[in-house]
Amino acid sequence: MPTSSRSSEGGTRRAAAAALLTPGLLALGVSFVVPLVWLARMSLNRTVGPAELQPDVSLSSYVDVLTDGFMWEVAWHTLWLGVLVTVLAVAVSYPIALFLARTRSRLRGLLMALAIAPLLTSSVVRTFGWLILLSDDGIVNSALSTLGIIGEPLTLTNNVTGVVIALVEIMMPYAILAMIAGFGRVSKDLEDAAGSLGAGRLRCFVRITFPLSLPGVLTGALMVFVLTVSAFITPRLMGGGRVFVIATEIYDQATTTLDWPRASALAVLLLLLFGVFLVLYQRLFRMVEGR
Amino acid sequence: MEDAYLALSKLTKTYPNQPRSAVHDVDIDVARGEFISLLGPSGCGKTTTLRMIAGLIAPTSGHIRVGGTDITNRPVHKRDMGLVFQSYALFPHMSVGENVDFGLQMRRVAKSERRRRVADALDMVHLAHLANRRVSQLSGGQAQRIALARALVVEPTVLLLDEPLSNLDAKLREELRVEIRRIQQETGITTVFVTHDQDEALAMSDRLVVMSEGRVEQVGEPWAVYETPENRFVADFIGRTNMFDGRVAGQSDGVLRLEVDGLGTLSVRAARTGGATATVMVRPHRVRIDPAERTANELKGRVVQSSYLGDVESVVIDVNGTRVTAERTHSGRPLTAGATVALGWGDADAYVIPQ
Repeated sequence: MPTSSRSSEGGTRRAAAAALLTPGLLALGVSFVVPLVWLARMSLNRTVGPAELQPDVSLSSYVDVLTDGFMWEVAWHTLWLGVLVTVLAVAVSYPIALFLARTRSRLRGLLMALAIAPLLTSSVVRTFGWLILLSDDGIVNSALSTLGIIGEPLTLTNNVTGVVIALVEIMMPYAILAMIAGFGRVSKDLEDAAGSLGAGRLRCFVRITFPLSLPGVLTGALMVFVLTVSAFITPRLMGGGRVFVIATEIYDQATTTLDWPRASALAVLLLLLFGVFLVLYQRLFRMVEGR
Repeated sequence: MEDAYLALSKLTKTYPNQPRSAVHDVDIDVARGEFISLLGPSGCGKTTTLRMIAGLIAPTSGHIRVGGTDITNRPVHKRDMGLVFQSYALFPHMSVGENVDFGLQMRRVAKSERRRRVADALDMVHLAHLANRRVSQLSGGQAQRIALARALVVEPTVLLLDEPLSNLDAKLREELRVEIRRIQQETGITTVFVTHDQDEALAMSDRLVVMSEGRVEQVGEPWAVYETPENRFVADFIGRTNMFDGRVAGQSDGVLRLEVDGLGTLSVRAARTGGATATVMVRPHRVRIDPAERTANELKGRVVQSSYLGDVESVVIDVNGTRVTAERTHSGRPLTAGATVALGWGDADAYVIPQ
């Protein structure tokens, strides 16, 4: 009977799909969903004394965080850092990504590998690298003073400047990868067509190449933004304890103050912030891809 | 040609690390308003030639002139040429109307005139009702019509068509072929059409340029290229054909007699040939099977294979070890393999290919 054989075939396929999905879903469940639920539950407990918590279902930690002026400052600071690093990293990565997406050179594979090679080292190592380069007697300062451009060394570490420089570099491989993946609609034929219709290089870029590359730019931007806002190591090391972002604040609350409900509440709020940006991203993406 | 509008002279493109030029010493003259096709197998240099005319590829040497002006070094956006691609290349982030409007915007045409010209261009391809559509909502045939309207709305000097029909299905291809030719004749625009499809080239062109391995093999009107190919390549590439090499056995009254292994002596009407050998060609539809009257060349053979195509039947016949392909317009049951048949053709049905 054809119908029954088809449905049993569909059943087999469903079973196969379930079997293939199970390991991944299990891993995600154990390593992501369970801790997340635990985190959310923790945020509802109440801190009664130093490092002492009382099981409860209360929003007191949230009230604490949201009424704390310093927390708002940190949040604002984090957002601002995220936007700045995103803009800079995407701007610097864009030409590289566009070139890699379109070149037909035989060296393309090698250049791709070079562009994403920094991902092979941990961001701890790369942050220390930047610490050395940007320190008061590092290569950057000594080069500038030897050239007579500066008299006093520039303060490039232990402040936001250093954090931004290091984060931009660390985020570039992600931005490049995400953008290349999103440049599918940019095509040589379209640019040739625009050229034959009278568009010079600049107008061709403004009217054709750039609008068509926007989905890639958005994806790259979301990637960099999320990673930057949740970055902990680089702001911590490069900021020398003087740069406060939500991630460092969570760490301090959890390990120094030992106020776990408050740390959890902060983490949940950060998660909500990501949610907002994800929705925003999807709206924008539909707008640039839609027509 | 004295009144050449588009003139290519000694046009050559060589790529580093490639022994053979992609295009070699190509001379083509196109008259104003003429529809010319570049035809050849893939890799013959036809697309490279077109892209050099468009300004998308810089020639290694040689010149391109339009209306007497040398434009060899002019950048693509200042060439004023309309370009239509196999991939349509419509801008996906613009509506149909905006696509057509793009070239006018680039030329800073006043808004009211732009609106009128976009409407006229869409009317020309009978798609005025699609002006506000998204490009992604168009069918292949509609997309290519819009691409044509977009290329023509700016009134370019030359229209360049790069395999514009190759992505369409057979029926649509034929329809659009007629439409492109109609629009070309209405607008009187000088057109260069690149294709690997000889039916398209034969049906649409004023003249054909047959290319192979970067060189021009023959230039001529479609019927002349088909009936009187200048060399073996053209004879073989355009249409299907039987070719026989033979020794010249004599010549009298404009008829050449040729000794061909297996076939005996063949008679063919030909002007005087100097050489001791010659190649004769007979198109399959000129070979008659079981002819009712006597013919200058009469042979007997055995059917090897018969392909029944509805309107014609293509029959491969073995004549003493030499294969001859014949076509007959069909009348009844096709021949079966193994059957013995008589075949023949007149001395005017064959043609001696110049060596």
